[in-house]
This record gives sequence, C-alpha cells and structure tokens, in this order.
Amino acid sequence: MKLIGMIQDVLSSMFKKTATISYPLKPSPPPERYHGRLDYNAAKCTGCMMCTRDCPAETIQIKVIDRKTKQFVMTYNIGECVYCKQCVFNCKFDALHMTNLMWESASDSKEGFQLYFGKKEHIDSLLKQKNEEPTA
Amino acid sequence: MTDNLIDSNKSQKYIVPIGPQHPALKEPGHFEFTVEGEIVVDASIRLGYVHRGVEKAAESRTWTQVLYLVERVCGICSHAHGTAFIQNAEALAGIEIPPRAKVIRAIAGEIERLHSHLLWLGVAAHEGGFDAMFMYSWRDREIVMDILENFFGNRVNYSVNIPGGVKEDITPEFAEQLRIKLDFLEKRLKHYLDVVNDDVTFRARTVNIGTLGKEEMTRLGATGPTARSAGITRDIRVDRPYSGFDIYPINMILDDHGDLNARFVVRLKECFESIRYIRDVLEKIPEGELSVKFPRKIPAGESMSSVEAPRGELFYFVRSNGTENPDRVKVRTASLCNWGTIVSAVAKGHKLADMPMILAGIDPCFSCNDRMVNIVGKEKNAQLWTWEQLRKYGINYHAMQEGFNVSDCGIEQLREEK
Repeated sequence: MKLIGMIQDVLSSMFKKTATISYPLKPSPPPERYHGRLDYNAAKCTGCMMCTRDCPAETIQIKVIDRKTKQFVMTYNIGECVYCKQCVFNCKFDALHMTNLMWESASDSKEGFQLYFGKKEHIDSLLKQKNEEPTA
Repeated sequence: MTDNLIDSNKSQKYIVPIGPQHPALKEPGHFEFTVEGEIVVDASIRLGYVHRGVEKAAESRTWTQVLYLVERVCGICSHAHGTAFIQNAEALAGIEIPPRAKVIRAIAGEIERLHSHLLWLGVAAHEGGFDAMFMYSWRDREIVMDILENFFGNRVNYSVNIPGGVKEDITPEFAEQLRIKLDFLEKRLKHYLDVVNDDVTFRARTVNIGTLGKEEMTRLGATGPTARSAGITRDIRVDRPYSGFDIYPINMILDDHGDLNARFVVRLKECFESIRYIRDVLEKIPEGELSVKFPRKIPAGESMSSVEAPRGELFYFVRSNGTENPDRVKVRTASLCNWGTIVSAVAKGHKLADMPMILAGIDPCFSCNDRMVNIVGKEKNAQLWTWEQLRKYGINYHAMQEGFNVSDCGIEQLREEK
C-alpha cells in the first residue's frame, strides 16, 4: 500500500515543460500521410466519374467541358469532405491526391469551403449558371 | 397536518432522476435511482436520446459508402465497426483478403484498443474524483493518437479499411517509430497499474464496489472486459478469431474478482497484451498485396460477423439482395449487452455517490447503442420466445447453414457433448 500514487507525477511535472503546444506561436506541421485537402490534376483526369460514385459525403462533382482536350471543372467542398481517401483509391488515373495542406482551414462563410479546380473561364461560366438557376 | 411530515422512523424511498443532461457522463442517458437514505435499492435506465437512423441510412448507400457510414457509429471504436461490416461484405462477395491486409487490420484494432482503454481510464478516474490520473492518462493517450495520425492519416475515424483490404502499409520506418512509442507507453501503463493496485484512496473507491459474480454476469449476458473481469472466458479474438488473429493468436486477460478494481486491472493488462501483440506481429508481418478487387454488386445472401471491440463483442448482420446497396444492416454494440449488469444487479446496495464510477465501469457508449425497436402487435403474428426456444432455433439455423441436421438430438445432449 502506497499513499503517493499520482503525487510523484504531479511533483515531477512542475519541473518539466508543458505537454501542450503553444499553437499559434509554434505551428505543428501535419504528418506526411495526413488526410488533408484534396488535390486534383485535370491533365490526368478522364472524366470517368468513379470518384463521385463512392464518395460517402457526395461532395465531389466533375463537370465535363471537353473530354478530348482534358477540360473539366472539379467542385469540392472542404467542409463536407470526411477525408476518407476513398476517391484517391477509386481513381485509376492518378488524378486525385490527398495533400497535408490546409489542415487548419476556417472560413466565415459556407462559400469559403467550396473549391473549384479548372480553367478560370469555365469556373466563371459555371458559377454564372448556378446563380441564374432559380433557388427552390 | 401531521400526515405531511416525514416520519423519521419509517423507511422512505425516493427516486433520484439523473439525466439526460447530467454531471456524471458526457453522453445523454436517463437514470432513475430509487434510494433508501443513501443506498440505492433499484435502478432503471432510459436510452434513445441519440438515435440517428444509421441502419436505415445504410440501405440507400453503396457498399463502399456504408463502410464509412458505419465507421461513424462510434467515434472511439470506429475501426471495429468498419471491420465488422466489411468482413460481412467480403464474405458475401466471396473475397479472401491478403494476409498482410489481415494483419494490418489486427494491428489497427489493437492500437484502437490502447487509445480506447486509456480514454476510459481517464474518464473512470475522473468520475471517482481522481483528476490527476485523468489528465496524465489523457496526455499519454495523445501518443496513441499521434501514432494513428502518422500511420493512417486521421486522429479519429482513421478509415484503415477499404473494401477488399487496407489503405496504408506499415513500412519498416513506421514499425521502428511504433516500437519506440510503445516502449514509452508501456512504462507509463506499468505506473498506472501500480496506482490502481496500490493507491489507498483509489482502492477505497474501487475494491468490492459493484461486485458481480460469474454466474450473474453470464445470466445477464455481459461481454468484453466487463465479463472478463468476473472470470468469464469470452473474447471473440480467441473464441472465433477473425482477420489477423487467426494467423497470430492473442491471449485472453482474465480476473476473478468481478469488482470495479478488477475492471481497471483487466483493461490495463489488456493494454500490455495489445502492446505485446503489436510488437510480436511487427516482427513477422507477412509480405504481399494490401488489397484485392472488390465488386460493385454483391450476390444475394446473409452474413453475420463479430469483432472484439474495446468494449466487448460487436455484432453485425448484413443482408444483400444482389444490388449495389445492402438490403439490411443490423448493428448490436457491446454497451447494450453490459447495461443489464448495472441496472439489474451492480447498482443495488451501493451508495448514490458510487453510481458515477459504477456507470463508467462498463465503459458505456451511448450513441453507439441507440437502435430503433419495432414492436409488432398481436394481430401481426407476434411470437413470444423463451430463451431455450431461441437457443434451439439458433442452433438449428446454423446447423442448416453448415449442412447437417440436429433436429433429432436435443439441446441438452449438445451441451453435454460440448
């Protein structure tokens, strides 16, 4: 029978550094395999839509502008994504990658989480089209 | 007027309602403790505040999407849920996953057990007012969380499984990192075991509190560390070894005291066994592929599988109708089996102040175990089955599945032969 129990932990911790990290001052880099923001490579995409079929959050949309000249607009929402990496495994053409970027994502609006990959004019026309659609 | 005054000589019973929002546990559950003075004489429980309709939602998703849905049934044992579901899907599709994938699944399961038991150790100590242990065990749990993040990409809901195998490989560099972290963790766990066994105040709160014998525990259908703390040899990893545990077996940890202290000891010793298992398996992890091709449509059929989650036996039933979506998914979590031990036996005879620790003793997980029960009325051919009838039906059903007939030999004979 001992009385000390956790007291030795408490006493020795007084002379040690804190276990927590001083976050905004000292950022901790995410690990290499971290499931962060999705990255899309339009040059490798074929528009087969396999990534959209099994997405559990149904957050990937690919709009085909022209399949031959590899022109696609990929829409992806960081806030809806569950970071499971299934789309990366479904892609047979190596067009999708999980990066360890943007792990501290925050936005003051829902639109801030929406990402568009593709040529600027295509994205603009897609957004214009969306705005013109009557909202239900 | 005198009728309204409390007669101090007469024993009075009061019902103390606790919950759904309450100071003891972090998840919603309503308890009613009937007390006589300070002693609890009866207890009842009401669950169902966090019903999310997961089983119904699974029916409208593809097999792959359901894997990620069921991983989110529980935030602590997400790998166990994913494995139990995908084992059914793979059995129905007639797929055998590569041995390397099986072993990585087992390792992930044991890492998950480590983080779950450390989390529980902190919570249970906190319920007993032992906050120093709560803080230090949660600090050490971060090591396990870092392991999960480094290996599988996420801290929680790490999605190790993919239909037909696993996603990430365990490379030699990762294995080396893992060994170093496990060495430190083992040192800390030894210290916690010493505290649990030796500390006077801690023992005063746990020894001979919430004691339940082997027979009672068996009758109430306890599972997992709660059952093993009373000496019941019940562990799915040993009884019906699944992915990985059939290649490299694991030892069962038992204690025969059956009290709250035994539950601490069993869980901490299980952590040592998990560390031992991971170390051993890392040495001889088989070479080969990580996954095999998984079909989009699965042939019609029914399948059942059990996985030893950190809390006990996790059961999944899956029925396929030959399409891209499952026809029915049934989940039965371990917490649901263990509630019976508290409300019908353990709680009675103890002080109300012991209730938070007794409740935390089974490691309850509320949102996991909320399922809808549809009670069919008499007009719809409802049947009332006794335990023996149900058991007989179960044996006959499985015998027919295996292809032999046991209709002419009674259950008692079967028991004797066993």
